[in-house]
Amino acid sequence: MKQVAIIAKGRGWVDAPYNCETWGITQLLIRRPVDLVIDMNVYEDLRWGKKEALENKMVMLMCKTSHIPYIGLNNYPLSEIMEQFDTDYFGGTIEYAIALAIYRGYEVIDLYGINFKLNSEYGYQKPSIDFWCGVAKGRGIKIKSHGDSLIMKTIDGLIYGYDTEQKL
Amino acid sequence: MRRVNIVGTGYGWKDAPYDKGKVWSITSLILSRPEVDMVIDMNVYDDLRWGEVEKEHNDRVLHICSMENIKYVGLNNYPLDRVRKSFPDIDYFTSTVSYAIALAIHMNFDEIHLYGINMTFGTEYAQQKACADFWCGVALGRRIKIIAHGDGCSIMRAFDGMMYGYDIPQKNQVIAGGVRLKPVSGN
Repeated sequence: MKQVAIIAKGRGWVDAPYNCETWGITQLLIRRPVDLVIDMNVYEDLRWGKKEALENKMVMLMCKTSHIPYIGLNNYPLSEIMEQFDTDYFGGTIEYAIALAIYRGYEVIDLYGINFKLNSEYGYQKPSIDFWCGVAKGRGIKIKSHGDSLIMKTIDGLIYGYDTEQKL
Repeated sequence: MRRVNIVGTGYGWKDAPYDKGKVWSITSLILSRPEVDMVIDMNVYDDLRWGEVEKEHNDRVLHICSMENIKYVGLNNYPLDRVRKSFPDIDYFTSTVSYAIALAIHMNFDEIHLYGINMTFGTEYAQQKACADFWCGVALGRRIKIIAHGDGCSIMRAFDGMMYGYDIPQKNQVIAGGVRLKPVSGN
């Protein structure tokens, strides 16, 4: 089984394993080792602030010295992925990472550290993350978001209409 | 090609075709557009949780379906077990629209077209968008053509209508209430 753990910085990232391939979202590498870093943000214009820009520079340096692949806006295979999936729906780095994992033929995708609340600054991202999880499921890929994540979950934990508890 | 048009009651339902594929009415659309092949409504009305007006609409829909021999799919006869067999690792449903898309995939339609399903940011339907997007993803993953029609539709569209990072407008971008919302940090 070709397996990858995609690890974001949210609560629960510490639960991610060390014994399989791991991809770190944005600056996760500062906290733990990973096999690949993906960051689709623009930092040069300081739109995310000086601290984020500095951390990104640090991550890029760590990648260079440790020979860890770094995927960003300049080397992401965007046109290939858009052509394969026939969509231009990407709401953030996590979505680009899931799309890349599907594109690269992973059969199991585990998500860690993606546990934002709907009313948080990241809440706007849930629909597009759910979308790419759907694409994975449609392709027969096992994808799971670990921890108390709202990904692929209803707000109240119930299946609409039947009002029975979500279990999967 | 087997095509189904899933048509909600939101802005844009009038654009749904009359001569291309099947037409499924979401909830009470049939009251506005009688020419449909099926009605699907997964809501509970008996306890008036949606109010008396909605219940009265549903009563009328049930009556029309009965008189016109139009199939009505609700909580009691939705083929949940069979759909769940098609998707054994999914139990994510937040609205009638998500059930309808799942059913269309289960029934092996080659094309799914959505009309009048807007789920605009900032409305009561926004929380249903994530699940509708999820099922659109499942369809796409199964190589089914799925298209959400209408300028006001937010399905499979980012909150600002742009491709993240590249800041390229999506093909059919939608802007919530005419205002571009902006996240406050990188992700």
